[in-house]
Amino acid sequence: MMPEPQQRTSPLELDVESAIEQLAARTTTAIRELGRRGAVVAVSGGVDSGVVAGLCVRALGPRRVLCLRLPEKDIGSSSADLGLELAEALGTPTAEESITAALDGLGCYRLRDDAIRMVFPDYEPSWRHKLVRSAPTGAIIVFSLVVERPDGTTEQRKMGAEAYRTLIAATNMKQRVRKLIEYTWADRLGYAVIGTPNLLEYDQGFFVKGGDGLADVKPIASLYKTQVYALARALGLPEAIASRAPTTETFSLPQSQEEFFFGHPYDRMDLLVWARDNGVAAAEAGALTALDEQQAEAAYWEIDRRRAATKYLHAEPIIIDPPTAAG
Amino acid sequence: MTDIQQAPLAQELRDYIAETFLYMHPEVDLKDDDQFLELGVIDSLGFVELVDEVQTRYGITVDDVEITEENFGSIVALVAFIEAKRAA
Repeated sequence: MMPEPQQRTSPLELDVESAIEQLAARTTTAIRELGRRGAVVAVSGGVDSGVVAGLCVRALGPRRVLCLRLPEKDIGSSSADLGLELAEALGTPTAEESITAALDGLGCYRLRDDAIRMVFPDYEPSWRHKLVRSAPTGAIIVFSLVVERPDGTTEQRKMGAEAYRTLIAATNMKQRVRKLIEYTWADRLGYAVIGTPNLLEYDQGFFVKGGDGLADVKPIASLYKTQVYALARALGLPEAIASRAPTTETFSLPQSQEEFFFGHPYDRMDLLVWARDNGVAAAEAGALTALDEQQAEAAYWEIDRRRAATKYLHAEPIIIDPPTAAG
Repeated sequence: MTDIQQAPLAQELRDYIAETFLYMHPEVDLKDDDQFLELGVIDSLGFVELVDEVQTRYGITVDDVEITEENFGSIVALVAFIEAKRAA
């Protein structure tokens, strides 16, 4: 009997089993070429790091993959708990190291509190907070700070440039300290550090230079988020991880990547980026994503702007040419 | 010379933009109707700085929805926006 032709409902649909096999094989090759003998994966409890850990296990077997859990006081323990559940499901060794004391010693929380007080002078560290962006209308993006007072009331105020820069500098320390610990374990074990950005994060520059942007191998940087979710299910990851919504793991109030950075839910962003890169007219992209033509044009504008604005994040160090001989 | 080039407001803005954003772009000879974003001399956060400056220096309040290229994208746009706000 002839197999039924596969119904492709989305341009992002993958043959997941074949994709897993290929990505795992390429990850093995990459780690071998680097002369390393295993993989360190920092697991946040999210779907990206879950899939990367799962691919590494397919590539190297569970004994040569270390799932590192790096909790921090603003995030709470649920992420580390999910990381443990993942490591147990995959059968890998795991280690947990809180980064809170390091961040405290480096002045991260003091700098963060200084930044928040530029916007809310009466802010106390016990208040929860997050950063949100303006709607993706094609206007220039404006960031606002949301605080939640102990009585549960919330307030939102626009951030000035100095407050914004200071807050981002402070919170970027979290990603950079995590990376420092990942490389410390990689040195101890002779392993490679495996990065977890997906295509949306990598392409649009949603990562910290020297933080989550730093890695030896990035197995899913060419996969749309929709495809990462498909792989999570095929890899049999625990349901709580395979269905977890994308978060920033940075601020004390729950914060989605949509409200902080992309301005659209991940499944729509996937299609918009795909459409932008495949010459699809804005009107047609809008039809694919339940946006009108003007909204899709605005999304295209933001995609292009983010690519231009985050070139610096992708740039390798620039080696300055030697001076020419005198005379 | 057009009126905008003679106006003190336009000159103040030119000086501010040159001092704040153009010092690493010596190759740019900014015209009053050049678009900052197209030239790559001001990024999103730069616009936040520009908005801060306009609010402080000219005592006007800028709503989020007004932070567009149409209002902040060039010297010409800034002059028109600030004058309209002052007249309102």
